[in-house]
Amino acid sequence: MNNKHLIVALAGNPNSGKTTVFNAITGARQHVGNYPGVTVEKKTGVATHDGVRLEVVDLPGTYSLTAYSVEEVVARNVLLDEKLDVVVAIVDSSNLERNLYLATQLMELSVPLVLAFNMSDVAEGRGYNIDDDKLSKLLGVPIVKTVGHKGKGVAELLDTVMAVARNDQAVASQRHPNYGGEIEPHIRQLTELVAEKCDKHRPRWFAVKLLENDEVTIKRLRQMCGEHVEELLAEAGRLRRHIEKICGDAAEIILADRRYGFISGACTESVTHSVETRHERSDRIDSVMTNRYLGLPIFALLMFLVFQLTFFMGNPLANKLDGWGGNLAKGVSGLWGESGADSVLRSLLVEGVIEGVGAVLVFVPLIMLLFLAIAVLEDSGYMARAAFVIDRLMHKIGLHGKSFIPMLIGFGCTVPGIMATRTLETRRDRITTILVLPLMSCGARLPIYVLILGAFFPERVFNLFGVFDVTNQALWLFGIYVIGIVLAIIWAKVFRETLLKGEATPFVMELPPYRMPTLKGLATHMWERTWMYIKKAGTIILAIVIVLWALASWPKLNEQEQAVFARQRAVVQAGAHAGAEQTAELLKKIDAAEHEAELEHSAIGRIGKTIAPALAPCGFDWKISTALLGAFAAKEVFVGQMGVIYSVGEEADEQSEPLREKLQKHYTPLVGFCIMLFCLVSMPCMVTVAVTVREAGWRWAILQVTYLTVMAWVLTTIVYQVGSRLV
Amino acid sequence: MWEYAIVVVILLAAVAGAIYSLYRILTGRSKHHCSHCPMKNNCESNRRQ
Repeated sequence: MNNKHLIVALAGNPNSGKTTVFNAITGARQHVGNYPGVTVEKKTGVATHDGVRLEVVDLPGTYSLTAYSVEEVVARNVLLDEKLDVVVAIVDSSNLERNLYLATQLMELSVPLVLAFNMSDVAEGRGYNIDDDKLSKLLGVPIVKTVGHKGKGVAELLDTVMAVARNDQAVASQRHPNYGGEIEPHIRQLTELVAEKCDKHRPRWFAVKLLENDEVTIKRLRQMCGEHVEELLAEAGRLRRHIEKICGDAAEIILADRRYGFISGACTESVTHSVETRHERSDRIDSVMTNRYLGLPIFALLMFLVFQLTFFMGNPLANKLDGWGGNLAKGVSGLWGESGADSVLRSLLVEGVIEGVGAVLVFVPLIMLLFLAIAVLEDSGYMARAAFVIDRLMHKIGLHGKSFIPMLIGFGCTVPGIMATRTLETRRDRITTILVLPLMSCGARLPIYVLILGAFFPERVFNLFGVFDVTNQALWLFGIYVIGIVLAIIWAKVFRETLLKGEATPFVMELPPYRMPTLKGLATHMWERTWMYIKKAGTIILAIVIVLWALASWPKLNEQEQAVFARQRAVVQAGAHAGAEQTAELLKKIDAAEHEAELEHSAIGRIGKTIAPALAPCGFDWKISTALLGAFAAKEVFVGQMGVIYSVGEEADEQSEPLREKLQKHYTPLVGFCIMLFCLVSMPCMVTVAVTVREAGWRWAILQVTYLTVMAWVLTTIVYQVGSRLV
Repeated sequence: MWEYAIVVVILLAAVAGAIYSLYRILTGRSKHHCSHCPMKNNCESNRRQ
């Protein structure tokens, strides 16, 4: 900046009062001409403020910086080519959202910016209450309220202009609209390519324009970077097609939607009494969805409906798959004929692979439905509202609602949830969110819940408010998810009050307009995530289950121990005093006792017996204890391991029972609930720990594992001890 | 006897597979979780591969 001379441009929508502000600043010292080559009026003027000469350029009135009209192109060229010290965006306060669209584009252009909220008297008269301090923090741009025709606020505006011109960090502190998970990575990718091949000053702006297929920008890039432009265009074309395929609309429309989402989010936080009409339909829906009183109950109701749908439609399919798995086990077992009981290969295939991996795979229909429901909520734009609704709650605990977005991703899988915390700006917010993220029930825990609910909480359908039928299982599942959210909120508060003290940073919660999800987008999202589940079952879980089968099968009982059971059998068979039915019953009991002894004698039995005393107060025996230990590798392993433990040594015949029935025989519903609670709260899976180490460091990862496991033990023990005394 | 030989081979393959999977997970090379990730198209760990 030249200390004595500043060049300032005024940009704004037509009828935003730009000319009145221009007149108020420059008075009569104006010059009117034309921009070269076009018949667009060029107005410049001069003013002096605090001894500094200000050369003011009045840019043509435009609604945006796209290249649809000659005024827009002219305004854009001035902004890109001229050496401007500060740009003042004149915003009609009574039509805030539409006017801020141009402002967000100026922010993307990385120019030193001041927002003049003009016609503030009209806005107040219409009942708008704009918290300009808050909005300024959210946007990272100074805001001055003005009334152009009265000259009100003009002196403050010029003070701010000078302060911004002197501030080297003015551009760096501005916030850009976030274009969302599907698009933002493409923009970053293209930004890097533009910076590498072409322009280092405004690579992001050029990247966005390339995705919008902006012809004027392409022409400009051809002049700037020559041969490299074809490479940029090819890459931009590829990314644009991907965006259009996933989002089901032209890229420029999607990008514009996201910008309005950014503005809408900022305004909803800082303007009360808004009667904006631009996003009329979305706003009308939002007036209910994000309502102060209705928002949370609606969020809870939608979550419940997701579980209801998952159970209602998924359970019959899962039962069918379970039946097919049983038939497959019988079929494979049948290959060995009568002599198959002692075959080690049969045991590996049937009791290890089919029972172990099968126990995980039967839940694929439920997983598909859960991910489909999540995809509908995401693609329709509701998830952003859910984060917005939770925002109020999050503020109270010192976090921003934006922290809830990684948590929502955590419902699918904790690992990408942790990665998504990179979008949070302060380390304090990131660490707090990472620490509590495992309390969001991930998809891998769903099979555990469904197994337990199916075993101990038989389906009962009842009518809610005389409107629709609900199942008790969906209610239990909903309860478990809510317990996780409540614990996460409590612990976030604890961390923010102790280890991670500090002010919450301002963020804009993007509220993109509601969209009708495309079938292709939904199918892609659902299938990608379901495939991950199936792939995991077929790779790492298969490998672990085979190892667990070996640990559950060896070492075998020694000859003396086997002889004890053989003698018992001989005595029963020789006993002529009993009837055939009683003999069969006694033989069955001896078989079960031998099976139990074999398991206890095996490596897994020994490990289980060693750790079981520590978990006995929670109501868990050695079998559950080992399965919980196995769940550290991946949560689904709990289900696979129970499948293996309860099938090793058993023959898959007509009498074979599904795993749920076996569990029902051995444990009470209280123990079932304790298993769900422990799995929800206890240490996360190994991958989560590894990612936490990478993203936050060893110290925080150790703290995460420790506090979660201790809390799980304490909570489950309390529930079990109190519950067993009451029941 | 041949059954034991097959089982031992499968077991060794499973142990090797489990160790390899863990190695990929712990070193950030596994892409198992990418389908949920909002930054899957451009994350550092994907590009490292």
